[in-house]
Amino acid sequence: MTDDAPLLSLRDLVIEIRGRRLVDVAELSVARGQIVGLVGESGAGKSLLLSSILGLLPADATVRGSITFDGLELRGAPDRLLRSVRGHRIAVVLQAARAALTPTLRSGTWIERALVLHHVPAPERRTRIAHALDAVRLDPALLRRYPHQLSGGEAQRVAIALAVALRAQLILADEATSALDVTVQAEVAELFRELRQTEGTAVLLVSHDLALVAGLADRIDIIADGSIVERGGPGVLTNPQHRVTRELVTANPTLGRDAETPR
Amino acid sequence: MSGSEGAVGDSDVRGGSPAPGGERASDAGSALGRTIGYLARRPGLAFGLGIVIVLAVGAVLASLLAPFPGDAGNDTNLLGALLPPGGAHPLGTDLAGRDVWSRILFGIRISVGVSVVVIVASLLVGVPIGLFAGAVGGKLDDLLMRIVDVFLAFPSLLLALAIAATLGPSLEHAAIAIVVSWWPWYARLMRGEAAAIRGRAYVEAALLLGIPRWRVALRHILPNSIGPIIVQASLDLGGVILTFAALSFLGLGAQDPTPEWGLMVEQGRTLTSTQPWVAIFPGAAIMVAALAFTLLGEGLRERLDPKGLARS
Repeated sequence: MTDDAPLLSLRDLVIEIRGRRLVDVAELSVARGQIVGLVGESGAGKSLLLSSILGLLPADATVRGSITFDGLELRGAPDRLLRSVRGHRIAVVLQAARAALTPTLRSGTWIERALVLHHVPAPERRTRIAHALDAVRLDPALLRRYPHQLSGGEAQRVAIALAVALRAQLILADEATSALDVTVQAEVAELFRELRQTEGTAVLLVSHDLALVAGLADRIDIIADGSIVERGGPGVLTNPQHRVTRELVTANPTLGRDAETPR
Repeated sequence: MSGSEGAVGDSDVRGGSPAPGGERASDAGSALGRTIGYLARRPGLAFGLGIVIVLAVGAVLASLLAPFPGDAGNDTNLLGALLPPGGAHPLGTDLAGRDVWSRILFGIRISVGVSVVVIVASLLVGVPIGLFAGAVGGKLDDLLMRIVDVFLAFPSLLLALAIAATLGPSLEHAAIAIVVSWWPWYARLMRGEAAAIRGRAYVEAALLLGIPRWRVALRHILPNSIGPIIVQASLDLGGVILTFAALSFLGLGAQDPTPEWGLMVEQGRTLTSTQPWVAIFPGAAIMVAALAFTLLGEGLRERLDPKGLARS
């Protein structure tokens, strides 16, 4: 937050669908290499906020305010610019790990295609993919598999490996671990931590799982009814002020007892 | 791009089949054995496939297999008219003394061949329109589907009849008439499949990767939704063969001396009590071909569109 030029900065962001104001965020920023948690109950506007960053809101939604990424204004930006940012500079990791991979494509083809799309030259593709697989500890043999032949954790690694191979500066993780079982959740969370260290990747971690976010994020923003209602370091959990935060904390039995050393 | 193109076709084929994870290319040697085993458990599919192969071979080798190739064209032999089956003419001869067996063989190229062309043409019109409507959605989708509804409001045989009658009787016009009455089915089917796939996570993921919408439609929606359309097309082949024969039978399709099966039935229509072979054998050919494609389509459905089994 103290960074002079945040990587991603949302200001006075208002999203309305058919006259209903669903998101109203005064300020939200992610610095380079920072992990920010955005936590809220379902329906709080988290996913809508993520979609707005990459300009993929439903057609009947209107957006006001400003979304800047690395000095670029993304709100209302031409499709061409948005497409060059999507995946390439801002990667999204979705909740449905396997379902997010096209069933008719081998995972390797899927990664390769994305690199081609974003103009990574052929000789470099090979080294980047090798590096990415290494970074996410994924067996190269899995690249020959189709999504239905992968486990949820493996599929999620494929998605994250692509983000690494594309050298995304920011990963938007939309409930990226929610569908995975607990041990795999921890592995994927650890992966985000490592990537921040080795690649300098910033992560906006959107989740309803406060425990996971608390163990990972440098800062946590609590969102309720489309607005940020509380903000702070992991300490926000030990002394929650807002009703929603308290509810999120009490909803998770492990947090109240052991908020200082989560997991 | 060239490096990944090969994998595309490959993956599309493999993706359609629910091959279990353990099976890899290494046991390709037993692929033939597995296929035979698969067919042995599905006699209908095996029969349909067998007939289709026979039809294909017959169409290609008609000029070698037919005892009187000229009889498929303008040759006539009035002294040998209406000979009963046997001897040099295994299925007898027609009013003009032409060998029925030779004409049936050459008729595969017309009756089945043109039907295949008609289906492919209908797919080429219907699938892009349906894919576009389903992938884009919104007002354009509504507009396109209302146009499709207008076409579908007419019974397809009636529409084809009206168009063929307007254009004038000929083989080409009959084919055009069937395409015009047939493509809307594929447009609607494709639209439904594409619209269902559009909401899938992998389509969202593809858009989030910065892939342009048209390419998402072609590479991520189309390969994952074409299965039921392929199945429907193969099932429809039987219907198109029948429609095409019906148009010719009514004098709106192929004209003499074209060896079209429906036309041949019509030419033997008045002789059924005295020289039944003139009409019965081409009629049987129509039936067998239509049946074969229907069985093949049902077999493909089990493979490519398992949920369609519940629909039928």
